[in-house]
Amino acid sequence: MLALLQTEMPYTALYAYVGLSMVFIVGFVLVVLMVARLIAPSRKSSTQKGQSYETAEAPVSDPWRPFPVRYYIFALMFLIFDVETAFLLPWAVVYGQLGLYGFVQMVIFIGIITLGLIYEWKKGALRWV
Amino acid sequence: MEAPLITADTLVALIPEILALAFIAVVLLTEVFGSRSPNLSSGLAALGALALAGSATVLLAAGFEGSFFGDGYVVDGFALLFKILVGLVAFFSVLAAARWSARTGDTGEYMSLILAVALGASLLVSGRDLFVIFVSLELATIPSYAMVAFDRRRRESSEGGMKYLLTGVVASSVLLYGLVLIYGVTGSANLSEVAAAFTADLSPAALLGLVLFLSGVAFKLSVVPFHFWTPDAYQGAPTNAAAFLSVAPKMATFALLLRVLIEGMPETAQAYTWLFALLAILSMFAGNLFALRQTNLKRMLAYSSVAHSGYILAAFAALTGPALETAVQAVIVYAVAYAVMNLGAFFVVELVGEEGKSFNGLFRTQPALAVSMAVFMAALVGIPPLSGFWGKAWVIFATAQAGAWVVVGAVIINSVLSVPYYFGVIRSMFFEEPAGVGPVKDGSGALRFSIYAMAVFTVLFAFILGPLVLLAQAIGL
Repeated sequence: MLALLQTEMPYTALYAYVGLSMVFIVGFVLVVLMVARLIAPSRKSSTQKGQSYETAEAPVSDPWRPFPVRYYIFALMFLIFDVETAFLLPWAVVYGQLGLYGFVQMVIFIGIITLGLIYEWKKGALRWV
Repeated sequence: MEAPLITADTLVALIPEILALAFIAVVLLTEVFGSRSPNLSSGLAALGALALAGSATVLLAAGFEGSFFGDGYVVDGFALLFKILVGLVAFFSVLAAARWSARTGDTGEYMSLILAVALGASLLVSGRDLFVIFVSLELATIPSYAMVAFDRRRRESSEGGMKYLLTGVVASSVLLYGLVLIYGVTGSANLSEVAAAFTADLSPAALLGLVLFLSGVAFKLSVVPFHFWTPDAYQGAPTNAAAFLSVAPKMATFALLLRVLIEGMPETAQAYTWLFALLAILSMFAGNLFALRQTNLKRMLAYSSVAHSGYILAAFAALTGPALETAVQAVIVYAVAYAVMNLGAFFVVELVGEEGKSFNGLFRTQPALAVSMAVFMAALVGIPPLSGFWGKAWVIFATAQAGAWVVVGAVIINSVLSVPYYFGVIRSMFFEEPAGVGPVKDGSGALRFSIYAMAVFTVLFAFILGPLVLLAQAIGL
């Protein structure tokens, strides 16, 4: 296959391989489904079948129930610092070349993010209730 | 030594956006620090919207032009005109939302969402770089999911917000994929360099990129066949949010589409004009036919907005040859005309109620409101001399000039087709007995002021038209 790709072929012809593999993938799935349909014994729906799969254990409770969302608020706030770090690291690496311009820009960025933090803080999102 | 990226001019160019951003911060922080007075929050937000429109007006009057950030962000007359429009739409929407959002207890948050959408829309019309365009489009879209789901007391609101979010992120990723393909084919994200690579003879990858990009944009504009989210999202959304979202972001998206097509792909016009003709015809028919059967006014107006997106898109079918200039004018004229009549109609629904029955006999209990609503409905049909007529007239000029007679025919047929449902509202207001659904909510003075202002603009649109067309001719694109 690799040897084929390395030969001097027109670029568009290479798409033929992609197309061929797509046809194969779709065809394979269709054939498998059809064979399964043909040879499988007739299906009877049972209550067992409708249950959620719990590694062969009987489910202990209904999964649709209220759960505390506090954690998600903290996860969201973590995101602020996470994104900040992701931007600060590459910035710090080239800081020497950026000079004052880079410094001011990062101050603006951190300033905007800090406003968000202040807002959350005052809104009471940092309290664990 | 390279030229510095940021000069004093850059800061001047960004004044409208910097002001909007500052007001977002101020609105949010006054709510948590100062008084929790809803009137203060909405007053500040209204000021912010006016600051956006006002500073853009000053820049336009001063003839400020230029391109910044490596030609990725452009400020020209076209962009400034749309910034002004977005700011004004945001201003009236803030006024209309003031009373409602005070009842939710989260005025500051709601108002900052409106301003954030306006900020995104105003950045969007200046984008000349594919990724600036994408980021600003998302800035305009993400707060709008929250606005739709803002009414936590109603299940439909969360439902609409969820549907809008799930379909919206799929559309955004499709759009991004299209942009990436265009970038991959042309080797540049800048529209002027994209234009060099987009010739009449498109490679398959470029065509795929163009189609994916247009599909994503069509979703934001709720054009058939990407309109399925519209009725559910608008019905679930707070009425004033539906009013704002059906106008401001769409206006900016039409402006963006004009810029991308004219600056980025002028030579591919043959490939997309027929596509726009097709989408426009489908949207007009589907919007109007589905609207006929609605009893809920918000759903009806949602389908009507699908149809009106179709009318505006019809002008895009003429984006070629000698008709190009008229087509750009048609988009601008229609966008303004649609903004005033549609905002007005939604604002009346906000005040009166969304069930068709609540309009029964409105003329007897609230004559001024009923007359305003009649004006908006007649304008949406396109009765002269109201605003909608001029929009349609310009679209027909442009498409006729381009020789797209099928599109002209479809616009005319659809205007007739839309008469029953718009006039149904008028009939029930003037000729039905009041149903005793309960008195019209008191409503704030600000909301009534917005309604009557929109009614005046709709009726006297002919006087705005002249200056608007002259301006559109002067700024070109």
